Amino acid sequence: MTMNQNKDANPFKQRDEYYFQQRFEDYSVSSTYVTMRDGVKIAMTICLPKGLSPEEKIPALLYQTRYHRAHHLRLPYRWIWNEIVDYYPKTELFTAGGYAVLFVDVRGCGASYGYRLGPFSEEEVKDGVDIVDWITSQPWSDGNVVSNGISYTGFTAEWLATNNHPKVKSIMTGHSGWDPFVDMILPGGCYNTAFIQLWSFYGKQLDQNVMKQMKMLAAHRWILMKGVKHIHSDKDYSQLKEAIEEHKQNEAVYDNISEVTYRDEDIRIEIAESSFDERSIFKYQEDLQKLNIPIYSWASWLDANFADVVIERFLNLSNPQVAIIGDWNHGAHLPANPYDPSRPEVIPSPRERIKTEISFFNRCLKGGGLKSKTLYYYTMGEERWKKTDIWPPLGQSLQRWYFQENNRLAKEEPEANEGSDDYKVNFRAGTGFLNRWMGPAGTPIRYTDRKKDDEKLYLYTSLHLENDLEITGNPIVTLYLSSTHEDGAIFVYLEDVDEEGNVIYITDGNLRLIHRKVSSEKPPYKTIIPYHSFLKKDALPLVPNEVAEIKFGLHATSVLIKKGHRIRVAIAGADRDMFKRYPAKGKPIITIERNKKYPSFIEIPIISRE
Amino acid sequence: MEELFPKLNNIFNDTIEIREDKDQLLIELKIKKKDIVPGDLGKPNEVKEMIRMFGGVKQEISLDVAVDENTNIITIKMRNKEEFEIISTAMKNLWKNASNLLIEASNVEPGSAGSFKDLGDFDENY
Repeated sequence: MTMNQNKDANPFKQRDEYYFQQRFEDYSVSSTYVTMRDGVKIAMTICLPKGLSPEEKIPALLYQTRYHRAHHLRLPYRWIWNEIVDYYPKTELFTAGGYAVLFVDVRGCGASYGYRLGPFSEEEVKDGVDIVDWITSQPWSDGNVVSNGISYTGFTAEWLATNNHPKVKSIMTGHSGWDPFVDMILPGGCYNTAFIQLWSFYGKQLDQNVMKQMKMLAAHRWILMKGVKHIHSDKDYSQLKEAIEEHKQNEAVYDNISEVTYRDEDIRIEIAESSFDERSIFKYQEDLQKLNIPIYSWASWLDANFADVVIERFLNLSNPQVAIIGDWNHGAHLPANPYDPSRPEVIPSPRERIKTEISFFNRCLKGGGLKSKTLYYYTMGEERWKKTDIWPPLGQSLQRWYFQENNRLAKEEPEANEGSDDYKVNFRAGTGFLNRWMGPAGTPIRYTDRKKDDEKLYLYTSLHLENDLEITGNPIVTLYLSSTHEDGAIFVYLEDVDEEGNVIYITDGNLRLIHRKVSSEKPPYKTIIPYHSFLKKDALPLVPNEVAEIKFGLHATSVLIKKGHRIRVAIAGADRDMFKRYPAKGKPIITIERNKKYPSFIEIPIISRE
Repeated sequence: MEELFPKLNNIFNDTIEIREDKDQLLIELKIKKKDIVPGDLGKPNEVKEMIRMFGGVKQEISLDVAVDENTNIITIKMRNKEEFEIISTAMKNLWKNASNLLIEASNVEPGSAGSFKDLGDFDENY
């Protein structure tokens, strides 16, 4: 594979004959129920370009959501906006570019009938086939369907592709996971309580068409939206009421997984064979590759584990791909770059981003096709886009930085036979709520100066750097430690300390210590970081006060640390704002070894700047 | 969606015509949006809620609201001049309030909706 690294490779500035062109001024909105193979009626809102001649056939963009496909607005907003204003300017741009846009409530949600036992159930995924059949039988359809989405809808777009429907020609999945166990639910085996609880509650309310919860999460949506939009012909809302009644059978995610520790545990007692893996996209890699459809995959360095997901798709799937990793929040509505905290608006603008998405689909549908894989990534601190067709990028090497006495981080290996540091786990340490793990709720992601947070953590800091240092990839930490307890967790933050002592977040990683075994078995998909299986058979509780090796990867990142700054590794044993406490009781003292026999260190993926 | 909010007040003014008849104690709202879904113009209780939530009319005022889907006209009738004046004043600020509230709400951090505690609750029934 050849290397192609272009220092001015902004994916949103690419222009060719497939670039978005406005063909239509306005669009119409209608809605209907589509009946699935088992009789369940699925609600759909259909947006078509106005002025489309009866002879002209167009492709369709399918968007399947569990968050209300369309909204019944309150007065007076309903007098000026339509039911899909929430998606502005997506619908405007796609219809202007000559696409039909179809918004679907997945079964058990919104105005659709049926119920859901969990996200991405087999039935929900199969609905995609029936929906595509319906779409391509419409008089305006040219027989081509593409699908896109962010977060849940990014998942549904990718799941749609696993059906291998020949009329689905391309998909675009943004900020979505393909191994939800580690991507957002139990990263490092630590339960993401705060997010899962919120998301589960929020979903439950939505499925019962209650919008009150929005007051706390997104107040403008509470003011604007009364609830899900009924199908237009359902004038007395009787069908909507029936559908919502059926949703009462829905299972709540939190109720079903809050006690899960291992990847191979059943996530629903009622369905013995359903495990995390069964509902994870990585398990369906072969299906995804069968038709070799082009994939546009994108995320942010700062949002959950989704940048790593983009990289894993890039490494594991043979499909032609455009992969993009930027510096925004979940869904790219807000800036999130910790190196540029005063940036007022997200870059690119939603309009510019969506035009790029349309251009990608145009290329896939209108003859250009896509043959290769390209990954575009943004280096924070340098504030530049780069592109590569291999990962890790050419010139990357792992540079070791050792933990030394006096809280120092240095490239030299420790020479002393003895040396260790005790850290009494501070269970008040946390990351607030505007972080990568709450990010999937669509909240701002804001890692501000971590100076104060670091007071509760154990720190190792380098001397001032003599040259700029680019880090691109996954740092890997190797700790030799003992604890007073069998169970526990380690959270490692990689930080940049500037000349004034401001502490800039770079990335982090964490591991529940009973999952410490680095498995020698083949992982289910290619990964760059040490493979922890999280299986019950591999559980390895610590032996109190006995040194163990703890090795794990931090989330991928790309930053430029400026000359004169310092690198810091900050270690915690808890994140009280987001994660479950390990162990549930007690206050472990962790002893971090830093000597000749047990040299704890971090490996930083640096890119040669020469 | 949020980028639409700053233009909202102007859109309201362009899309909704308000006509007052002091003698008849009537206020008419003519909605000029063309493609309103049948049944979506609103129900009388929704119009009353709009006046309460966005017009700031907290006292009990008995309004007679008629919704005509054929003409897209909503007629609000008051019982006396005092009440007419209250609603008339509320209507003059309603578009601005509805716009500003949305802008304000979109700038509120998640979990900090305390600034809306005086707004009251919406009727969640369709």
